[in-house]
Amino acid sequence: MNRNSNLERGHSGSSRTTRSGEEDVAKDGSEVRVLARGLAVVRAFRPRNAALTNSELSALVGLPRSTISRITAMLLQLGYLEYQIEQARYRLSASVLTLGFSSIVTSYARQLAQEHMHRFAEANDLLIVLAVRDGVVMACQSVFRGRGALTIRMEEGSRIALPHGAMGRAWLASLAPKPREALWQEVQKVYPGGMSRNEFEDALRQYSRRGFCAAVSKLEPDLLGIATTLQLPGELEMCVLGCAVPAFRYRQGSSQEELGRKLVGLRDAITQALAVIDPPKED
Amino acid sequence: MRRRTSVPPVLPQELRKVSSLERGLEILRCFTASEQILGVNAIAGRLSIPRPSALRLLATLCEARYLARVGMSEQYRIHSEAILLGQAFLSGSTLVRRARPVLQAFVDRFQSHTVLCVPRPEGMLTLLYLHSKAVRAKPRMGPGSIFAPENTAVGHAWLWTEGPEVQSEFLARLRRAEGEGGDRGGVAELFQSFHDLERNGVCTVQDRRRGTSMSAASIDVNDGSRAIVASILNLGDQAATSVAYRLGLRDAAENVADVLLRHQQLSRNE
Repeated sequence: MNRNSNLERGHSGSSRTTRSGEEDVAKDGSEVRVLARGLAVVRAFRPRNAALTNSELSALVGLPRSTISRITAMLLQLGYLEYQIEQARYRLSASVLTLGFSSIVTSYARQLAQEHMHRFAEANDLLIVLAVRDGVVMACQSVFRGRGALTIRMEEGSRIALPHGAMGRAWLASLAPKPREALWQEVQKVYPGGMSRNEFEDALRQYSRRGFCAAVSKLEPDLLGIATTLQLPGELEMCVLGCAVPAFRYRQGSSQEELGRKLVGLRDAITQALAVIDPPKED
Repeated sequence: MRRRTSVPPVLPQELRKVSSLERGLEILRCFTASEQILGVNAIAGRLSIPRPSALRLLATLCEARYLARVGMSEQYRIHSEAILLGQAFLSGSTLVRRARPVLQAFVDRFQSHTVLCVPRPEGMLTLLYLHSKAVRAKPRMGPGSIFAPENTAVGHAWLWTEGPEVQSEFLARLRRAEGEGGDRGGVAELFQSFHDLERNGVCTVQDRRRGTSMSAASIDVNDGSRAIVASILNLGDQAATSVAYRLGLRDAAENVADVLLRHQQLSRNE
């Protein structure tokens, strides 16, 4: 479904079952339209909270400038936007972290996964990442590095195009055939030539045979990435566990295989730990 | 060329009623680390809105992928857009990016839990949480978690930087709470914190119920705002009472301010 459909038509189909009558429908429409438009405005600040003017927001969201002005004024009043007077631009404020963010990122599952990742990074002297998909990129949410991985340029908030590394390939390979093909087509549109059909099919073979994908980074050819998927309880979308090492250390296929097996072992250890341990109660 | 200075926009009075946007965002705020799944009736009750209105707002939030229904039930949980929105703020935050390595060094040295917080109307909002690999993560602590300003070092360090008006209001609230049978000794503890902050730049408040000790120092963010860094150790931990630990925390706060200032100067020169 088109995510912005409420911006235009101003109602949600599922809500109609509870009320009827023309007046109600009109009221329902305007009620959800303001919310849908507001959500579209805050979405425009992704992925890195760029400072935007009302005109820029208007172009990005596809709504008249006057409508955008009302919404930004409202979001400013509610504290979710900050206003930079000098530049007449808006940015997201820290208050957006109160909009459900902590319910996922401070979950026991995430904390336990991060502890395992931290130990894995140190034991194997590499960089390890927990990432989620955002459109056609993988967004890094947690990054841990061992001593030998200090120079690898990746940090929390880094974004890696789906075809440019092992994490995107593992994500693609984990999908069911139909959504996978749709996403592949989307990737081809955004990053033409980013990944050949052969590379795509090779990623699928790797994932189905070994449970992980290995790929030398398209942007940094001296970096080898290995990735697998991880389903954390309480989260709807699959995460990706990826590690990066200097490629010269893992030229041999056998050493890549060994590292891949370790990563899958880490994924299984996290899954098992989460399955058998009850979350601790709050202090 | 200097840009034209604009006046911050003000919402016309007639639009200041509670809008569906405000209510929709209020729904998202109901989801926390301790309440990851909520039903439609609970949400409608908390927002004091009719169930049909709650259902319409929930449907819109689901369509935009901020929430998702749990199976076919009338229960909901946070979905990917809310995470990506928070991530966007954190990715673009110079404060978080510059403070992280400085605070990580402090955490590794003293094997503590350390948070970087900013004041918000609802309390001290955590932007960054770091802990030493030698200790387990504190349950439900992380970006987005909130500390009550009363009876916490992080709250005291914030209040110390505020003007007399805010301090008086806070103090009156604390006294009212004591009069109503709240935690006795809160006012004395606050004055002790102010005294310590004045002398050493760091205050410490013990939480005997949780068996922890929190120390905090204020950071000048150089844009007119303040952030607070706070470190938590167990009460039995010897480091919690050491001078080196408190000075280390104060130095970490000062280092973060220096790094931010240098970054600002470099940005201006560019």
